[in-house]
Amino acid sequence: MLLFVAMALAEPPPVVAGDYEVSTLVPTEGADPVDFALHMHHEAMATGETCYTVKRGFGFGPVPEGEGPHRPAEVTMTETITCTQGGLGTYHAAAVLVFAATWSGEGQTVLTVPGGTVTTRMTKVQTPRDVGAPALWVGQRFSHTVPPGELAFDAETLRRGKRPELTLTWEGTTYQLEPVEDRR
Amino acid sequence: MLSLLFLLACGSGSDGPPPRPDGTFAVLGVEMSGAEIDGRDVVTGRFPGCTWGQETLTFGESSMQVDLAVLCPQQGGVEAYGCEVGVKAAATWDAARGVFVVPQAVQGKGQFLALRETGPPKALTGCDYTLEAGEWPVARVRNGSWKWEVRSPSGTVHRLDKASSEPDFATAMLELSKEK
Repeated sequence: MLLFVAMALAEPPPVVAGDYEVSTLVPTEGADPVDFALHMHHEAMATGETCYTVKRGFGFGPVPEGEGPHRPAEVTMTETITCTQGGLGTYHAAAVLVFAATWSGEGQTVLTVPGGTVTTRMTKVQTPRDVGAPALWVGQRFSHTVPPGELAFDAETLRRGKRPELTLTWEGTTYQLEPVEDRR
Repeated sequence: MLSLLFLLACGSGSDGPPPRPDGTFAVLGVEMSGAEIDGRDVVTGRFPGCTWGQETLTFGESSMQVDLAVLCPQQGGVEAYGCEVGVKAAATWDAARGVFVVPQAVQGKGQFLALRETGPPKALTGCDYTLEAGEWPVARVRNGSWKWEVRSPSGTVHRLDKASSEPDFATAMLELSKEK
């Protein structure tokens, strides 16, 4: 079961909206937080993977006017990889899952997702002039699976007029989520 | 016509519900709004600029998966990008009624961007599919040989035949070149 558990027990955010990205993670309990993209890159280098995750995102829909409370009816979970391959160059591939969101618990802080898998791949096809057979460059097939389960979250800090950072844990790993527009 | 076959195969005159389909099937045709449309045209109709498409359904013991593949020409048709997206959702098979039940809809998207040394990233291709929640009744029909049909929760009837989900982009590109 996919389980996200809030680590910082601040008050629940009145509004859950907009796009978030994982900024840091704590790979083991008690360890220092590490940059998410750097961690995924190091992991890929260790295993020899040519494509690796650079971004993990959560979309909670448009930010409403007012101070809430607000919970979106839909959640988007995106895994983005980078690949470098002859013929295709360096490219980003995003696998996106969109689910209906069910909210429950005290303060409506528990999000239940039904789970699912998206698989995607890109292929470049070229027909050189005066040559009959097309040439193919086939990218890596890429799957993103979210098991059915619950996502429980809380706000790290509440700042008036700004969307809060969120802290989540997933199967023993703690993630820090930052609002996307605050990072750019 | 497809609806009639569907009713005949599922009606009281049949020998009960069909067995659970197993494996991967290509969508040959789709009946929607009373008309039968070629399966390839249904896919390309959803993706403007794409000239070839394929849809397959894969039925498992506890899941249902739809795979789409589209070929979208660029640069005057000399080059094309193929985009594939597969969406898999939990499903249960109601053997008494011959119906797959998908409790919750799942939408999946694949998006591809080229990273360039100068300038912003360039969108290469993208494709998406939403696997509808609800009941997907299955029928097995005899029309020369055994074929399968499945009706989506929104009412479209998909005519199926056993196939691989691997798209053949090279052959598709050759066919497109010959059609010019």
